Amino acid sequence: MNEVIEYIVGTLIIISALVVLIASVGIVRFRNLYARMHVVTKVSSFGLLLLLIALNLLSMKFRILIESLIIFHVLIFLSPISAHVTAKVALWLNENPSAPDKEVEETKEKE
Amino acid sequence: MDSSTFLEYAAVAGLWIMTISLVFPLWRLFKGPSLPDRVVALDQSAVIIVGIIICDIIYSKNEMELDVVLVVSFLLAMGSMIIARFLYKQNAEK
Amino acid sequence: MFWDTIKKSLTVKTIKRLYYLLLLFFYFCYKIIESGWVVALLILKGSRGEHGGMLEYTTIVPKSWQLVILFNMLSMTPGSLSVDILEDGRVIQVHLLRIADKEQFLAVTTKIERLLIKAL
Repeated sequence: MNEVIEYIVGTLIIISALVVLIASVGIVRFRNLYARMHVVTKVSSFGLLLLLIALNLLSMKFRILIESLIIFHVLIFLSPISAHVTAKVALWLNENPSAPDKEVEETKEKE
Repeated sequence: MDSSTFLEYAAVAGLWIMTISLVFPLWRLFKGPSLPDRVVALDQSAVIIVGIIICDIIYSKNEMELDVVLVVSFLLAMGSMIIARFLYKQNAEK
Repeated sequence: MFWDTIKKSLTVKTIKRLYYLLLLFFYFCYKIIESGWVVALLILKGSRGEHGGMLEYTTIVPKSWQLVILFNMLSMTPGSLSVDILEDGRVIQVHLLRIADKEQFLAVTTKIERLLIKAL
């Protein structure tokens, strides 16, 4: 029984690491600021949920369960608020929500 | 393969994959066209650091490090809120 | 003393509210897992985050704390991210990852709203 749990935990760790890798590839590939915010709030918290489940399967203790519930609560209910504040500032700085990024034009100062 | 060695190898593989994936938000942090892009990239890198610490808990079986995870995940949300608020105030003065 | 207050509050109405609150909790957990999976698949298919757009959604929830919970839940359902509450407190500004998924978003949101009103 103990060996089966260890095999399951090892597979869960590799899957969640791949999910976090996919999320950070999406950060680079997406062209729009708001689309990048989707990736940060959803995919990353999904990967951390898998990691916390693996940790709880490995050590069956009540204290670990309570502490990981607090961590997951912080991730779920505080990351939408920070995304809201950032999106509001970006909207206030006149960023068009559906247009792709503009390339930064480097102003060459002539002496 | 023995089950405990498989768990050890899986934890090390998770640490390596997450360390490699820390490169992409860093690239976005350097390249990002506007300032909110950089805030989002910092947020993602903090999430990856939380994942690295949890992998280290499973590898070294030291469960007291979960307190570190709690503090870092709280600073993750608060920090991006404070930076966004700072951006708002700095641009409102102009 | 303590048991009397519990017995007094244990009516049919409270049990119904508790049931709908539990249903809402499990539905929310399912939505979190589904949204992470859907966006991860979208990245693997090679999408570049175009075809997005803003949407203004008028809610029917009566109380303010329900509005706050709805606002947080909309960020976790697949393909939508809540940006702002407009000034009259009834209109939520939502950014959709693909504007073509509008019908699915409306269906999910009305289901969450009905569960919230029943779990009052």
